[in-house]
Amino acid sequence: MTEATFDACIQAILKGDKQGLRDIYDAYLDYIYRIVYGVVGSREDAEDITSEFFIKLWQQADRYKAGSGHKAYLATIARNMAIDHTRKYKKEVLESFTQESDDDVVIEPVSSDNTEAEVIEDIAIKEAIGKLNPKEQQIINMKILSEMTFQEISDILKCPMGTVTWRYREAIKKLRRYGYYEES
Amino acid sequence: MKNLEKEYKDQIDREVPDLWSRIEAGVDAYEAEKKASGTIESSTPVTETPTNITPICKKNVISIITRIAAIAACVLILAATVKVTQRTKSESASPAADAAMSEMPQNTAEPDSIRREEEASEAPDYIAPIAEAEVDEEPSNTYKPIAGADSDKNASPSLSPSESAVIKDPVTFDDARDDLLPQLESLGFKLIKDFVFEDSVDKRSLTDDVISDDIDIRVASFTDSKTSDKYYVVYTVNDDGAADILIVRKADNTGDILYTNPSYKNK
Repeated sequence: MTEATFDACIQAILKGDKQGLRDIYDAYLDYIYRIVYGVVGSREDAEDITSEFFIKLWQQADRYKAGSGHKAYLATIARNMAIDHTRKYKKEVLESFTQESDDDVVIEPVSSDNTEAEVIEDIAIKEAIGKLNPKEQQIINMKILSEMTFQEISDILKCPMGTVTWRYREAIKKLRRYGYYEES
Repeated sequence: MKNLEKEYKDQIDREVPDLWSRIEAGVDAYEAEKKASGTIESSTPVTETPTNITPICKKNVISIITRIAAIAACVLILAATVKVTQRTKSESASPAADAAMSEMPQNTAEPDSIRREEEASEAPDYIAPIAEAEVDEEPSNTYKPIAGADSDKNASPSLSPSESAVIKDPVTFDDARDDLLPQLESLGFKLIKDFVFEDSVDKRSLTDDVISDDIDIRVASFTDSKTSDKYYVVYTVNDDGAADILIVRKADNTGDILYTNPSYKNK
């Protein structure tokens, strides 16, 4: 969707025309849902927050400044709603990153020999992600699905950025063994 | 090798449900609410930065409020229980009240000597003063609780409707008189006049320790219309709210006790 089209949709919303919202929904439902899911990690919560996102967009369409980069605007709002939700209802998930022990830091070692590059098992992406530990899953979700920077992830998880990047690299190594590579 | 980012995003995209009906319902509800209130206020604004929310503090506040409410409820229940217990104790001080009434000779039929004031003109001479007393001396006959002895009775107005329905507490002497006159008649006192509540006599001096001290006693007096002898009637109010005669004695120097209710005697 172009900036002009998006602006037209916002104008329609301001006039009370639900078709304007419907057009934005059709264009960005997947995108918003993915961003939200990347943060909350739960289908149910992602559905709730995504629904709420579009309702709020309707309610506060007048706050959007035309031509300010609508996709980034939508992504920022969706991310913040998901983060707020996580802080409200899943504080323990975030806390698990701030209360790391030495044991937590030592993750299952991935060999650095030649077998690292070998695909040991060709499995579906969901299954491969499921083989990561929860902390790695969350960082992968935030980085890939929510398109967040390491700095943003570090701020949200209240975890040093070095730890975030290290965990991410470890997760990528594991996924590589299941046949998935990261496009750099 | 497969592209991680593409594969993962595609996979999630395939799982995205259709949320339009939910969103449309939410929008409709918002519009209806906006029409009803006439304002365009929104409850929580969309922010471009995460709001600083401290769920722990909120939880603490809710927890504190819940605890305070629970404590308040406990105190109320305790207060109500203590009140009912105190009242029950004071009224159960005459456990043989029912037995006393059953042992006393009863005259269930309405005796000629206690006809109501509307029948006063047709009544025998000796009943006339009683009828007059009911009409003319209402204020002086009004039951006045004696300090200390009747303190529990004073608490009766604070009873709940259900409690007051169970415990009949005569507020006025007139109520007690309706119970006492038939008993006096059954004891042989038929020519009664000037039957009044006595609030100035030393009540305990009239019991001669015959009656237990823990029984709440009241005193009335009457005159025999034939002999003009005055008598004291020491009575109490039993658990049912009815007046029971404890002692009938002469009001003269002899102070002869003519009747003692065996059910209330000191053991």
